[in-house]
Amino acid sequence: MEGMGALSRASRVEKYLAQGFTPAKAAYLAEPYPASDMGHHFAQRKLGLPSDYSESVFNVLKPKGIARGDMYELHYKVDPDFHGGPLPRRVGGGKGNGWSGKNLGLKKYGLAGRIWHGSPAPLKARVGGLGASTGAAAHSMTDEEDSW
Amino acid sequence: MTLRPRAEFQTSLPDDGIEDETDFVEFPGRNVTEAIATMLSGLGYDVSPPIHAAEHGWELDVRANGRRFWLQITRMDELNCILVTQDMTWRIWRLHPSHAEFLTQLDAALRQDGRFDEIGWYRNWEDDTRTPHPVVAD
Repeated sequence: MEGMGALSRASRVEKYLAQGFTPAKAAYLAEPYPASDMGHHFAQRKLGLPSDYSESVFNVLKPKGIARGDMYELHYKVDPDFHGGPLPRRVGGGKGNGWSGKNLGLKKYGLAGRIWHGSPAPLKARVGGLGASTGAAAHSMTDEEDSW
Repeated sequence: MTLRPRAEFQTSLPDDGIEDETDFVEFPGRNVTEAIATMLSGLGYDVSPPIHAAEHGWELDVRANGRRFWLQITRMDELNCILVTQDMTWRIWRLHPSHAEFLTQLDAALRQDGRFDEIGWYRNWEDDTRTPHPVVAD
């Protein structure tokens, strides 16, 4: 398994190199997305929901073992408000060197895609239709332009 | 009238991100967000302290006369920032200031501040039709 993990990480580095990142940045993006990082909030934080729910596994999408770069791609696709951001100076972040979904040519999902791909597995598994309805209501309220 | 609630701009404020040996401890953009908060406070809005939102950047919660506006400021790199605004007010009838009035005031304040330039406004994330102001007559 360790070998498979290493191979998987090597292939991810190759992917980010192919996207035009430097070796240092590609290696950074291939690192596991830290468990302590924020993840994607299915019901958006700006709604001001109680943190007991907002920060729970039912609302925070942070797939276990996902690479940082893959998490940024997922986050970009499912969150209308996530565009990307800077990369640390230690890997050469700086002027014109951030991670940008738009610059990578990624497309954001519509409402249905955001609900399906942006909802955490525990919400899908345990709450099912009720959770999807709640999420749909939350997403509809905060996005006046998208349709299914 | 079309609202364009998303802006891209450049700043001369320094990159204020805080990093340890592995990653960001605090993403850059606190200084940009504080500058915008000061502008809005000067315009009479009740503005929250900057809220750290990790890879999203920074957020502000802005209120006036029963209205609530949400702002997200993402510093993409040393120079470029993305600003997203959203009217979060639940309402049945028109309240002041409207989102259009808020955006017009914010745009004017950004332009008067020498630390910000190349300000352009967009309808949404997939809109490439940059305009110099956030409220456009149809």
